[in-house]
Amino acid sequence: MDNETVIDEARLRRFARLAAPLLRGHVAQGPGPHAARNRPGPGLEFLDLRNYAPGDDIRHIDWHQSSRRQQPMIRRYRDESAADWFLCLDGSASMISGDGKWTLAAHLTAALAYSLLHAGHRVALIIFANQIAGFCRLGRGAHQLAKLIKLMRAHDPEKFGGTDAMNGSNLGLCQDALSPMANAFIVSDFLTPDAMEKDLKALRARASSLSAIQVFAADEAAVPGRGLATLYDMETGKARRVDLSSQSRAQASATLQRHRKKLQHICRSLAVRWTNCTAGQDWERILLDHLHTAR
Amino acid sequence: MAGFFNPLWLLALALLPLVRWLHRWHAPLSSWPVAAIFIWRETSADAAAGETKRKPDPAWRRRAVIVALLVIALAGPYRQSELSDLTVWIDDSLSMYSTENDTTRLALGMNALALELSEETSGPDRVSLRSLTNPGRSQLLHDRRRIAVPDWPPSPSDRTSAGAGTTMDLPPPALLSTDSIHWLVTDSASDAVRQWATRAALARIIQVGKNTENAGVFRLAAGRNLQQSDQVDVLVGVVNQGLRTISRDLQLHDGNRLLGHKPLLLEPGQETYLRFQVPIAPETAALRARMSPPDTLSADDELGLDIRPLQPLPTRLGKNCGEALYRAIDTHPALMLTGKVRPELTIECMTSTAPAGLPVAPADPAPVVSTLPAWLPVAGSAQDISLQKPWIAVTGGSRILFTAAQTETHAPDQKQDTATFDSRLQPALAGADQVLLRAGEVPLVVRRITGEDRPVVVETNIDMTRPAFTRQPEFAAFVAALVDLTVGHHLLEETVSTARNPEASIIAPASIPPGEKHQAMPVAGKTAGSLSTLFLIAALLLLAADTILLWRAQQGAHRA
Repeated sequence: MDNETVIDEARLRRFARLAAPLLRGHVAQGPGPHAARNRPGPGLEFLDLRNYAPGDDIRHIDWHQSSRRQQPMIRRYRDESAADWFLCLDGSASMISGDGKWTLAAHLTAALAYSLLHAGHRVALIIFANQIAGFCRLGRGAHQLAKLIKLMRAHDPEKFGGTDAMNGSNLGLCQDALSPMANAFIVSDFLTPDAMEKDLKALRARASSLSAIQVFAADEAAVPGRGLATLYDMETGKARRVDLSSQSRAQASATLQRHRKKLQHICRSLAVRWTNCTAGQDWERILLDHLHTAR
Repeated sequence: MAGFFNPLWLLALALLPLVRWLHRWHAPLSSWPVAAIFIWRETSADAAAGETKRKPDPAWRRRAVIVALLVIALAGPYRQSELSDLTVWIDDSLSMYSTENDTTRLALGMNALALELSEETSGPDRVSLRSLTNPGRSQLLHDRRRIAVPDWPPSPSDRTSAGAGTTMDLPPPALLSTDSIHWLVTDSASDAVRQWATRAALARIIQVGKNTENAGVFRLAAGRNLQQSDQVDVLVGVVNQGLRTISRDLQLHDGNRLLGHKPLLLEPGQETYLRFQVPIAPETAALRARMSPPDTLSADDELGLDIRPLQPLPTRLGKNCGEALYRAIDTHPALMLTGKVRPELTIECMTSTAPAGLPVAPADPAPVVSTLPAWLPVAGSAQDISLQKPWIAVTGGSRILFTAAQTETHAPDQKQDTATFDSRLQPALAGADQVLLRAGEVPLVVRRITGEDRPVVVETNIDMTRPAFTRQPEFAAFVAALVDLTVGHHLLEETVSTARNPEASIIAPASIPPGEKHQAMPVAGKTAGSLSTLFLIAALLLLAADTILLWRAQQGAHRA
């Protein structure tokens, strides 16, 4: 992520406020050890006291302590709605095909991390390619956000491609890093022949909730030139001689659409929340639409 | 209706699959990275699993079209269309004026042409006749069924009879109009016409004439007889172009007067010259050589010659010129002394003091040049001076050498009793006197151009009365040279002649070999417009487009 494409923090705060109620519905409901600790919110376990502020629910006023301290005090409880989130970002070479594809994926990941951290959740980041290219453990707070941003900035997708890569993106590698019953958010182009179906199934079985945002370049089938040309896969290095006619471009676009529908079908069958977006679109709109749809 | 001039070239179209096959092994010029190669799986040009063929470069179609267009262009496609114009080339060479049963071949050809046109039920309505020997002469027929023989000149023109010393000037066959059908009316006696007909795109050839026997006069020349000034030497060339031996009488006429005659016996193909020495009267203007009796082609049995240039030149001699000069002029075969006011040559003599520095012999005590003749012609200009002998005596004991190549002036060599001077035979110098002979720095013979009235004046300081000079035989030659210098040409060597091409007397018809154009020419009434150029241009345009696309692909690959 370049300095030029850093998201304005004010915009992130605004998005976090808008996304907070949506994210609450997004978190998987159910018992388990994944409750947030030391965060005030709705809950039964007493956390601490603080001074009363206008707007606080007067039902939470601790009258005994207010009498002793000669000022109104509010009881706060441990927030039991916070959860652990794993953001799985595709960092393979295919993510730099076309202008703005990697930038949009990084923006989406950063904005999700910010809003989740703002809501008190613990967030981890896994950058995957044909291997785990980057990993940041679960954490919370501004410090964690800085670590995530730093990790994304340090990542160069171009290094994870070519003939040495042998195979493409491997989402299945994230499975081991994922905590049981955690929530997972995948940002990828899912451009593998099987649309990562096998890996999605494995992740879905491990995670309590799973979301997928499919990021495409403006035109994945856009290749300059005409006539006979050699096309090679940025990730695997596999080459093919292709006649770059308008007919073949149309066929490639049709194949891409079929692939997108296939992924959509897989996600629906696995109860994975899915959204498709294209480079150049507004990241805020994409995420709000996704959270709305998934609610 | 369309067709091909060379349809065998179309067999080359069988090479088109080879073009496609060669493009299978053509390596792509450019390579591009893509996010996922599997989305291009269905459009791959590589052999998929289970397939054995490799898809060729799609540019093969473009190149196959280029090859096909070139092959078609080589095959010579043409489009036939109905024509509205008919051009009939009339061979009006000399042989076409030979008679067959009292009718000229030209008339026979015209009659045959009229018959052919009348038999054409459909065809061009506009018919134009054109002379083959003089394409500028043409005649447009508004009614193609009415062709009158007298419409064409009844006698051969100068191009075909006299003056035809060279071959006939026929129109280039390649420049015949393609918008018109071309016919030819000929007797095919001329080799030049036969070759022309072979190369020209003629739809029909109307051939007339059967006679083969003909003899003719092909050359008549006359020159001055130097022994007898009232006679001329005549040379007559005759030829027998027939297939049999002929016997004729060759007569030489002066107007209506028979000057001489000689019998002739000529073998087939024989060419011979007869010599005559005949007198000419002062009023005689022309000579005519005639073969008697005339044969089928009377136009070449006679040849005329203007001999007025051989008549003696009227000359007026001044009173002071002396006896020696008078005798020299009087005995000159080409000059005739006259008392006319305006003769063609005037010689004036004046006495003057010899210029200082004029070399004279020591034995001669009188260093005076007694005469200063001036030679005045009425017209013409001198070109050079020419004497048969290289030296001429001017004064007693002294000599002047005329050597054109000598450029240095030498002092008189008294010991050898000989003086050598620069003759300075140089080209005319514009606007200045031309010194033709000088002794030291003193000019002896000067030619000057004075104007239109007296264009050339030749002056000499040589003493023309000194017996030591006038008694020499070279005196007459010197006088003759001065006369030639004045009139501008050699009077004694003058000849006049006229000739015609001996082959023009051939009247034996010969067959015209079929030419390539005849085979390629469609039937009469239609023309074939060649379409090769169109196909060639289309191929070149496509080739240019292919080159541009290739260049752009390479540029794109470089940028990538």
